[in-house]
Amino acid sequence: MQNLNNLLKLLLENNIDFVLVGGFASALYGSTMVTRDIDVCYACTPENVESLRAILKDLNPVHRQTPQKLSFIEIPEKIGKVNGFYLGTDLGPLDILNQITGVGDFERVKSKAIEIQVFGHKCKVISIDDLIDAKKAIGRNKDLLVVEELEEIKKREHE
Amino acid sequence: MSKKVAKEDSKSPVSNSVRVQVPSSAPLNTSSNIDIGLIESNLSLSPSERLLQHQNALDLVLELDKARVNLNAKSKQSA
Repeated sequence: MQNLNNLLKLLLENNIDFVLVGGFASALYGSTMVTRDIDVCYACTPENVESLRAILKDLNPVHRQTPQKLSFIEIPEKIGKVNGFYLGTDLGPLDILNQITGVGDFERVKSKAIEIQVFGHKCKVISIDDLIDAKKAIGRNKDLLVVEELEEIKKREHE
Repeated sequence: MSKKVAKEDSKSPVSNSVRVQVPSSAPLNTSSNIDIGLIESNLSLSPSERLLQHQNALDLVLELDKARVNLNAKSKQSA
């Protein structure tokens, strides 16, 4: 049964170095929009990808954009330079992104990330300014709606 | 034969109504596309509570998806 919170908890419990981005980060900041997946920014080095495989192995992770739903555990066999992975898991979709459009690579995103206590763990979350820039860069109508909300939230947090 | 005439109710429907006072601080932002009231409600929750609420909303969306698929399947069957 899909449960994105449990998916996030699994990542947090296994101490992997990621930054929460996208719709889940927006929800954490207070956005009212519902997202159907978790997006994380993660340095997709061969070692890091192997760590992720070990954590996700019991959740049947697959490359959800492949028609055959190829296994993430087996494919790719050799991990070279990748932009990221768009996975389906038993707990829901998980997008692993090496870089965030409009912001930069993992190190850049991490440098401005903040830590929020979530479900008893410290979670690195993309800064609200970077999240706004990322959403503006994507520019879909729904992203621009979230930008409006985040800008209002920023205003209220500074009052 | 006497005609019985129903006594008219002396209370008109209007005089039985209750006036509802609308709070002057109604949380509506009509100049933009967002609901400030909902945002304020979210900001009163802890981060974990926000995600729990989000999961509830997502569960509802997924149930509605299933209901829509079932409805479409039934419509096709009966067509």
